[in-house]
Amino acid sequence: MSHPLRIAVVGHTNTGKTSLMRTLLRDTEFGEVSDRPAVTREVEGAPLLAQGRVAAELYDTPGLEDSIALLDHLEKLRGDRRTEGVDVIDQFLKSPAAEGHFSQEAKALRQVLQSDVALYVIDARDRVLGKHRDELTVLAMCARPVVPVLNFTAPGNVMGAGVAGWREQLARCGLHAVAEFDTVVLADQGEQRLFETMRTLLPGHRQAIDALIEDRQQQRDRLITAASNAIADLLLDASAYCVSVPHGDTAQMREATDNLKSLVRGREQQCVEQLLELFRFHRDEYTADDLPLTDGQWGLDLFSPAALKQFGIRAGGGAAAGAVAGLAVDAMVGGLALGTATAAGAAIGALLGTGRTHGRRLLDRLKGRTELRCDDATIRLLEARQVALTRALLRRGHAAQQPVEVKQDSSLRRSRLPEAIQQARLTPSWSRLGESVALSGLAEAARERAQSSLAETIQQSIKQSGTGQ
Amino acid sequence: MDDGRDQRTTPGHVAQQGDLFEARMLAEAIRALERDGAEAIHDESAELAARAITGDLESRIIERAARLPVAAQLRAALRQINTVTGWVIVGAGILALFAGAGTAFAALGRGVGGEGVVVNFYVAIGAVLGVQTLMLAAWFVLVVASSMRQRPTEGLLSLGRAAVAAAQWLTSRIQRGRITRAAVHAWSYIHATGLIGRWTFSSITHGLWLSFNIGCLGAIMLLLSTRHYQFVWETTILEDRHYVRLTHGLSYLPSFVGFDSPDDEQIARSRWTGRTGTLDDESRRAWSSLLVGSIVLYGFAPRILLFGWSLSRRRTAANRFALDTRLPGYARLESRLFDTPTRCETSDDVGGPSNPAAFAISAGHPSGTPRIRPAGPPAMVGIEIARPAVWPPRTPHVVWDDLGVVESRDDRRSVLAAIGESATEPAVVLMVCDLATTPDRGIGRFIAEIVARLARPAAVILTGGQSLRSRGMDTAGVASRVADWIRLCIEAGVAQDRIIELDLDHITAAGLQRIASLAGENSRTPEQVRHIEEAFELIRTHAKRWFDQGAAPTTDAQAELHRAIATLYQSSSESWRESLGFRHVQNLIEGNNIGRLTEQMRSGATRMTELLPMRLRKSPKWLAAGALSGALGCVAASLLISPVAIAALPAWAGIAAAVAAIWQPIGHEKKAPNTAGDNVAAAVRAAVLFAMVLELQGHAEADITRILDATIPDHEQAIRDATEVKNWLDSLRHRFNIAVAETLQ
Repeated sequence: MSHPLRIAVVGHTNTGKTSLMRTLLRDTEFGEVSDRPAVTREVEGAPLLAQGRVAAELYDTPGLEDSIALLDHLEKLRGDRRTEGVDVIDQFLKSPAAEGHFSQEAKALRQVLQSDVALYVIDARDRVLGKHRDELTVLAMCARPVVPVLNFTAPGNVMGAGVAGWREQLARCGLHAVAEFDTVVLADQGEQRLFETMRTLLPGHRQAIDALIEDRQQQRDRLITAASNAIADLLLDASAYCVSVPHGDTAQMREATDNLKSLVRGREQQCVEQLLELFRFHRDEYTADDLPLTDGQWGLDLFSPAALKQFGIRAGGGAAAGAVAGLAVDAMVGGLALGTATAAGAAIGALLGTGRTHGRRLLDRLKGRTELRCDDATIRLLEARQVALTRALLRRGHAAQQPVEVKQDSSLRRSRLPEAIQQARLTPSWSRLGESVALSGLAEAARERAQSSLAETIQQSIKQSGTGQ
Repeated sequence: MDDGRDQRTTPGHVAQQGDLFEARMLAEAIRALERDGAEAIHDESAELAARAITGDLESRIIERAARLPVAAQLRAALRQINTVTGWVIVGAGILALFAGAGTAFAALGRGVGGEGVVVNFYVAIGAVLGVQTLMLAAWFVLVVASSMRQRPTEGLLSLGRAAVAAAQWLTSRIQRGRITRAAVHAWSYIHATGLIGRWTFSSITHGLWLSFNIGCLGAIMLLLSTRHYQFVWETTILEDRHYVRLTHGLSYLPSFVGFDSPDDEQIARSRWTGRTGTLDDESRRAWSSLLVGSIVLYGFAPRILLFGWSLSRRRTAANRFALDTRLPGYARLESRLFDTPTRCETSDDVGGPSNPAAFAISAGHPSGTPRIRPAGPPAMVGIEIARPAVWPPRTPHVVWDDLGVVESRDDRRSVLAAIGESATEPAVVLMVCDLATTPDRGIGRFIAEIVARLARPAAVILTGGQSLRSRGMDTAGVASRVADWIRLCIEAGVAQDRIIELDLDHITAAGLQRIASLAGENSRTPEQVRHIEEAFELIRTHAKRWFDQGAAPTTDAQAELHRAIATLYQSSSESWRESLGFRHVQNLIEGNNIGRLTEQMRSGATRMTELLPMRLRKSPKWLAAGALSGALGCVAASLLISPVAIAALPAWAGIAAAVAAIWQPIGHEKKAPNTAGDNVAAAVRAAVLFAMVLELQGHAEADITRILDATIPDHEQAIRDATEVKNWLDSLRHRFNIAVAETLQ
């Protein structure tokens, strides 16, 4: 192939051409997106990579605004002669009109002529109007395959013509290969279907498009794995962390509680930032107000009973009263813990790695000290929130401008915490919160194993909900 | 920093320079360091270098790791671990050597005897080979078991693991700090999770046992050459033939290699009978040869073979070792390390004005000023709008010439012809545009062409603000859309004071008046009378009474409050009833038509919530307040017309239904307010909303929404008693006044 597949993104003004670019490129910084007309005024291109190689080039074009007059103009140019459409377009592009009133349209059409395919972006919320029909007529004159892309099709949008109306209209214009692709709320495999639609019209570029599809699929899998690992890491850190304070010393107890809370909150924030970076959303793009983490649900105090309730998690048993505030005093005796660990089939490695800590805990216990740690409900809430965030990020187009919103999901109510977390409970040295020490090789391996098994569980719950809707 | 600069000038990339395994170990150490420090390292030059190479994510991660300024320190720390480990192993090897020699001495005995020392051959063999054979079997079982379980964690108790643990402990004692910690961490992580760990520990284990065997053999050779031993065997319950068979079995392999072994007769003679000196030199030599041969073949040989094998497997594992790029610490780098050239060259160099603002008006009418024609009736044309329920709107005293709704090229032509070519010119051409449509140059040019055909001024109505808001656009977005439309219309030649925003789908009497005024009909705007202070006072006294009673306000009481507020605005009740969609409530109560009343209440509730800005619609409290006040407002409206006792009203169930209809589709958790205080607060919110909407009647929808947005703050203070209600109402009224002044000027 002499050149990579060239794709021109065209459409009426403010239908989301640049949004489509951003989402396909996974680049929140491409161009400028705004709910206003004529934001993009120049053609801009960017490569689509598959396995690090350029598989296709995408070109963003200025919106078509005055197709009615343009078609008038083109018909005048053609006159009575039976000229081919593409010749008329050529003639138009060389004429002075292409640099005057129609300069934006000319830029878009010039790019279409230099491309292998045109993606015609439609705001499905709009009604089908004469100007849209005229745009399609002009595009048809360019003699390039046109793939209409219906944008803003996610449920919840108020529809004008709607998907069905647009499909019917497009069919009348001879366009049957139509893709639905909401650039803000991604549908499962929406992108893949868009590429597949293009593939049917471009048999010559099958390889490049297949490479793209495959690359995107792998990328998605990698993202899910990495996200589950990050969440598992967070959960292990939070559930293993444990401080001991003198029994009955209220002031110290409160101080330790506050300290524990702030450590866990900080750690959650760190995980959120990791996830945002993984999915290529940048924190600095949002102003502080837009950041969902300080607003609404995310702003809810992680430890407040309300926050727990919101995710459908009941704080355990009679201790649910708000006073407990998500913290349970774990008065576990070291020896008992050791026994449980053995019973739970904890690996020898974990036992060896924690033998010392158990000894210290037992000693603490004898000296009349109490242990403080996050309770199960908090761990569940952390998991629920991060899984929900991951899911939201998976469905979030890179053109989205609203802050991430996370909905509650009842499927996360799990009666028993995963084994890895129970194991972490008994292994305070696993936690990297506070002043941690390097783990020995054995403990490290045990933690790693727990993390990967936990990550697998989390991955399941991410995927379940990912396809369940 | 200097390090970094030096590195950057090195040609080629790291992967080719040194040991790839070490490079990966370094990357692992960087990951440990970043995780430990809770702060990712961002180094532009390192990332730049990594982007410059071709290769997969892993090779880029390695490249980046090598170019980070901290790499030199980490390399040194990793080297130190290797050095310390090496010394520990050497030390352990020497110990093993001595241990071997010691075992030999212990096995053969040290006593000085003139007649020679009597040594039980099988006890000696057992002492030298027993433990190590057991350990070999244990190693074998663990390796096989862990290979089957795909978990490289065997050899937990092996000598190799112990030596490494000692080395790590020593390293972290010699030097503390996060660099060392990260290095130790990476080292142990790689050895604990990868195959390489298995073979490292194995080779150390076998190496140590090898050294043990060498020490042992050396000592035995020394003892055998310098001392006189009598090898015997003893038994209490076994027969001679058992020992003969055992000895032959043991000598099977050594004899292959050429070691001597005692024959049947020699074996039989070697049975210990309590006397010494019964053996000849030949059998003594045969027994010693068997002893040495057994140690060589059963102790030394397997260890040296396994040592070599483990080393080679270790090398293979090191070569095969790859970073797990799915770990979050690595995966997050993907976006940084791949050079995504965000721009392609575009061949579109032809300039042209980037903003063709002036609307080129196509031919079709004589240029210059339009000719003067006598005035005809005012005309109205819709431009790409969704046709409202009533078209054209029925304005008082004005009858519009309907030019239809323009959608296509042909529509545009016929409208232009109708305006430009008839004998009379419309007194005014009122163009209705849809705010939900993005203003574009095509529409601008069309408006300009209409204006160019007129000698009299044209006017524009911007409708559809409500449907724009229901797309989820926030107040700022709506404002900027309105501004874009106004700019377009001005550029097309419409005077700014003749562009108004008015929702034709929710038109009120006041709105119709404004449309009529565009046609030149009595352009007075109805004088607004302020009642908001009185309304707020009413709310305050009601709330106080509810708090005093200490019980939740009943629906009757709330309806009563709404009626009282509505009474204040009775003079203009026509207008607000329409704006809230209560046009037909008159007969509902008298006719006892509960079904219709419920329907009306539901639509009132919907309408009221639609007036709320997006932000408040997302707040469960305000959504509930909107629904409640819409439903209660409907009741109040009907009560104004046919005053009956509220208690006699049959349709209370309808209120719950109307409110629930708003609630449920949005999917909020339906929960009843808990305390009486919560209930009063909810009632106060609904009443306040009602009062403000009545106060704002007749204004553009967008303005009402904008004012509500500016008035109601995000975080509301608590409403728990009468004083707090008063404070809240006061601050709200203050904000309301400012918002009204700013929005309506």
